[in-house]
Amino acid sequence: MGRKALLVLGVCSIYPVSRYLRGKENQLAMAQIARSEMPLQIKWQRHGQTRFWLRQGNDRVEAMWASCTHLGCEVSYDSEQDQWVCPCHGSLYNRDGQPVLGPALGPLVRAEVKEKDGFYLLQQPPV
Amino acid sequence: MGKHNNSFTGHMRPRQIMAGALRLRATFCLGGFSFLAFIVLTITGVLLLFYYQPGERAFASLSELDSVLPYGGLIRSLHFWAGQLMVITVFLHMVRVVWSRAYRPLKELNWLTGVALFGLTVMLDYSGYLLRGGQESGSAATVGQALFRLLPGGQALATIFFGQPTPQNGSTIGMYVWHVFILAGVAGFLQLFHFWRIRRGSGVRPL
Repeated sequence: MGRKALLVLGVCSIYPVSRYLRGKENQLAMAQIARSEMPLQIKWQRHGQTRFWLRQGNDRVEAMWASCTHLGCEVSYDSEQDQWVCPCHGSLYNRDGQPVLGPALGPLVRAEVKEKDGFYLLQQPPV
Repeated sequence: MGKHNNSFTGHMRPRQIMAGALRLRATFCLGGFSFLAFIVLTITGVLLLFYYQPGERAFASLSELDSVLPYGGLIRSLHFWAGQLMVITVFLHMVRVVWSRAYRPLKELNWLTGVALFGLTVMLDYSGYLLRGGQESGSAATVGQALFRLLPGGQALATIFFGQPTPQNGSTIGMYVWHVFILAGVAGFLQLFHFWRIRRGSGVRPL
């Protein structure tokens, strides 16, 4: 490789390296959804391809962070059985996220929801 | 080199070189590829040091690096694949040296240096595997410790090299120091010596 090729390679890697070094580890996931985009139901609905699930609670919007409390696999809500299922080790939770069966002992963790200007602002819970 | 004759890069190369040594088939640039892999490993390794946490948090810190940090997965993959490549090219390099009988006197010392470098490369690859901190690295550490104990004074050696790994996790502070500082540092300086000997000898085609 010539000197120029090395120089180009070095200059091109400045941006990725600086992004990498400025990146924050343990960054918590956030989401913002327009209220009109997601009409809420009594049953849990997943927001896009995220781990956020939303439903209309008794008096307010509720959000669930769909990570199994056993080893952190992504759980999903089975609306027919009305329970949360973990694909990894078969943990089951009831509709409110209380553990029913399997290795998981703790309940599913709720995500924080704020309503602002017609948007739901979601924040991953720090575990 | 022409106009670079007075520069450092000019001095790194011998004044005269046998025409035969410049043929690609003389070396296949295997040593050059090994050194290129080592440079990539050094750069990406330094970048990984910014986030990697040895011990309990090894596996978790690596999966965060993979999934959360921008370009983290790329940097880690480069480190992994350059490591795998280096073991292969170093081995093929040795096969080439044996094939062309370049291990005989005059070059014998450099052959022995190369053998030591091969050992260091394998140890670096192995310790890197342990630092990943998964269950398989714990198993690999258990096997390695058992092998070390077969040596005289092996228990002490095993403790110095491995620290106190568990069957679930081979990543320890001790292994971290060996991988990052001692093994890599010794390999780096031995390589400089290796290249200096080539420069003093006949010289080869640069990569």
